Amino acid sequence: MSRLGGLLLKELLQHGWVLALLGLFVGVTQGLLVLGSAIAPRTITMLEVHESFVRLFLPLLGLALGRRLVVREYYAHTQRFLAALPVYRWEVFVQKLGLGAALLGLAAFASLAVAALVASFKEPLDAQWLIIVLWRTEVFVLALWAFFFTMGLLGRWRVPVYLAIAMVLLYVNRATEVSLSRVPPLSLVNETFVLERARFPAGDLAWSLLFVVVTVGLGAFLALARDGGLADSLAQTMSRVEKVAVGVVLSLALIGTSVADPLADEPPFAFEARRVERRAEVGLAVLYLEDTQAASAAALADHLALDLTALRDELALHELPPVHVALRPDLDPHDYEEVALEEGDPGVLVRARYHDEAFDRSRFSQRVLELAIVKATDGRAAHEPLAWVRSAVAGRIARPGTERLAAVYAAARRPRYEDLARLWRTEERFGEGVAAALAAVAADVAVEEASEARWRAFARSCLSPEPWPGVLEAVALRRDPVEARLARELGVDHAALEAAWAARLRALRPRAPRLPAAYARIEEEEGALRTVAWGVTGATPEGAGCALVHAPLGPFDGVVDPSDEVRDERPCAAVAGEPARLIGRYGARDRVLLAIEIELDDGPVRLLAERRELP
Amino acid sequence: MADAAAPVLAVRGLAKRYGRQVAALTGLDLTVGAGEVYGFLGRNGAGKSTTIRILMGITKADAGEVRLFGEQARGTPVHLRQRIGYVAQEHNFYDWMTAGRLAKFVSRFYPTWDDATFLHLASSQQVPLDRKVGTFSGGMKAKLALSLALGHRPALLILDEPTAGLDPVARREFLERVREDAERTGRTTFFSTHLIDEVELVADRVGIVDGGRTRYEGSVDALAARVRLHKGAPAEASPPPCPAGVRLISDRTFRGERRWVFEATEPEAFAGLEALLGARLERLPLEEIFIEMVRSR
Repeated sequence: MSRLGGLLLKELLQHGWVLALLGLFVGVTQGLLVLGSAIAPRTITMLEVHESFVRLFLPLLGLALGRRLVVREYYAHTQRFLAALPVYRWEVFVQKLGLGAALLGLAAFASLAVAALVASFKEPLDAQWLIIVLWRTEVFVLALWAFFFTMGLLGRWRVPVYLAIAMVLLYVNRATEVSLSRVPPLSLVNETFVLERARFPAGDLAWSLLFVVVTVGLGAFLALARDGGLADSLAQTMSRVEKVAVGVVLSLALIGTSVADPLADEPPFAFEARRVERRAEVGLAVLYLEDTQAASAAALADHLALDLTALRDELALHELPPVHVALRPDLDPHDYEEVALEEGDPGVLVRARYHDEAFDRSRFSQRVLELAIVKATDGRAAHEPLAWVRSAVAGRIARPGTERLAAVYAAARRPRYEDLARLWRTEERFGEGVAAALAAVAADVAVEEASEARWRAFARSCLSPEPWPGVLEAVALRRDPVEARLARELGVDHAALEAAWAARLRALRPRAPRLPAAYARIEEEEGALRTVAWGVTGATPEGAGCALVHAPLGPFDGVVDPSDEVRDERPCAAVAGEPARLIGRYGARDRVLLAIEIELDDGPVRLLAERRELP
Repeated sequence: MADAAAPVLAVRGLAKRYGRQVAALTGLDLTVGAGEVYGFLGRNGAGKSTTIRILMGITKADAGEVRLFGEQARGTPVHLRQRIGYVAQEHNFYDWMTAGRLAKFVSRFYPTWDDATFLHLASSQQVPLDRKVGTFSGGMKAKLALSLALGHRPALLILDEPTAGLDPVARREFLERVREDAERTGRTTFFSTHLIDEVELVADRVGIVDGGRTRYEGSVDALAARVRLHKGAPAEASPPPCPAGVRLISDRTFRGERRWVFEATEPEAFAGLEALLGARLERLPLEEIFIEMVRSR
């Protein structure tokens, strides 16, 4: 057996039981992650299991392996024994580096294989996408291991260096505009890690590999310089003076970063301009830009204050999230721009062209109330299956009487509770207005079947600001699903309630507006680019606008971010004869969402929504 | 290129510094012939361990030449190290391994490993092969180290202060085992120590290193014959002029009388000095010679 083989066998014998335990740990965590993702309402793709493993458990594995393979050897001084054997020092270095990389790489590969296997039962997979994820995973593994391996060679200084690096990263992340998730190798496992299926991240991979080369170079210097004496001397126990020095330096650094933290005393977001209409009792502020807009701002503030007060009473909230509305004159009056405030800020900020005559305060209020509910529930209400309850509560307060929109749905398909529970899909197919109207009808039916008080109790049970126990949220929802709460709080059987809701919707069918039919055709061109020809047929309401809404589909046929959706608006009359064309935006084999909307007085309604793979 | 008639080990002008302050070796020379048992004698910090670490390829020399088995051995490549058995001063074994497992591990690095030889050595020294090395005493670890070093039947055995930390009985047993092995196999043995009695007990030839240089190299008997003491002169007396081939290496007053120690290139050179002093010069025990030589620097 070769010398390297002998060293390898020694490592496996020495660390075999630990590796077996780590393997068991990996298996159990992977199983729990699969289970959690399978039942979590927010799961976009089952590959998120792999993402969680790589982000959370792989670094722990790297740390443990670094400690076993490197730190332990130097602290026990057994590397001196190896140095006296007929084996080159670089052979020991390469063997440990290679073994750690292989073990971590194997664990990561197994994680991806398991996640892909589970995903293959419920989601479409493609080879290119898996290859991209695999590349990102394995290069990240190399970078991770190079880091922990080299840190292990720092001996007694590695813990202070870990702490220093953590402090620097936290400070940079908090105090500067630098987004660490954009910096290789961390960028390989950022939010696009398992979602990117088309773009090969060549740049990030190249920079990450450079990081690997530099880090391994530093490790080689530590391990081989001065005949291995450098790493040997670094592995000596820390003296009392060194301990005191490290403690003092780290304490000073901690105090320094706290004092210099620009966000430590950052107050919640607030308008500082003079032209602001405030309604302090509900924490509302409406910003306007010119004195001529003051009346519009005041009218909107009065409208929202009433609705927010009603929401506070409906959900028995002690305090509403502060709501900030800013005027943005360049927006379409039907569009609102939701702005993400700093993490931890208790408020919401929305921009709108509220001084326009076409601006619909009720629609806007519904959106604002929904955002306030989402904020009050720490984001829980943003997701299925609570989304329809949120929408119903906000809709009944802000925008009663939207049955005509609900009738659009009733005319198109047989009502099913699943369309409420999976509100995103209903929004995607029929538009947000229709989905909200469906939820509002469901709430009205619940009130009629039970009582206003019982509906309120149900809404408060679902949208309570009491935080659920973080990671157990998915389990909590599984154990006490919305359907069970509905039956319990209302005292009405769920099936009976669904039947009453379906009957109400069927009764609304005659009120459905006459809508034109819509189409979207793909015209093949020479080369890879494709044209989307779209339009409507049949009579269209006078002066109505139509729009093609399109977006690339992420993994598993979903739009990753609603802001990816692009609207191409035309007068309906203009697309009733000749089709409009979207030229060269997408290419062959792209999967895209194509939806055609018509703007009614009640709001936009989707005539068609399809996920298409372009030929 | 190997030279069959060449000494097993030859070192010329070996130099090694640690940083700017510490010059561990400043031009060391030594030669060890085939089948010799060579005692490498020096005070703590004289450069013994540095020399051995260079011979084993653990440390690189700054200057000088090392030839092993007649072959240039810069950095001591693996194929040369495979012909050397090495017992280090500290026994940094894997504590979690049993002695038997450790031998299995070590055997993979030596093509000439012989299980029977190792087992014979281990059993004759009562090394328990099924016990974890972490439970061994210092003496037992030294015995295990010697068994491991000889298990591959090396052409050259290098021992770096192997008896450091052993009790007198264990030390004696260990040295006897080394001497016995050398006599039985004719193996070239190079061992460092700062204990004179070990050299007297085991070594054919001795090299005295001091301040990173070789002060003496030759047989133990020749060394004893080359150094003589004159004592009894009054405290205020001056040392006599030395004839050719003789030099004064120590001039001290001890209990009211002068003590002069002379070193000659040949013992015959002392005759002229004895005539000049009108007295016989005394022979010194090896320990005294060593002390006077290294103290005279």
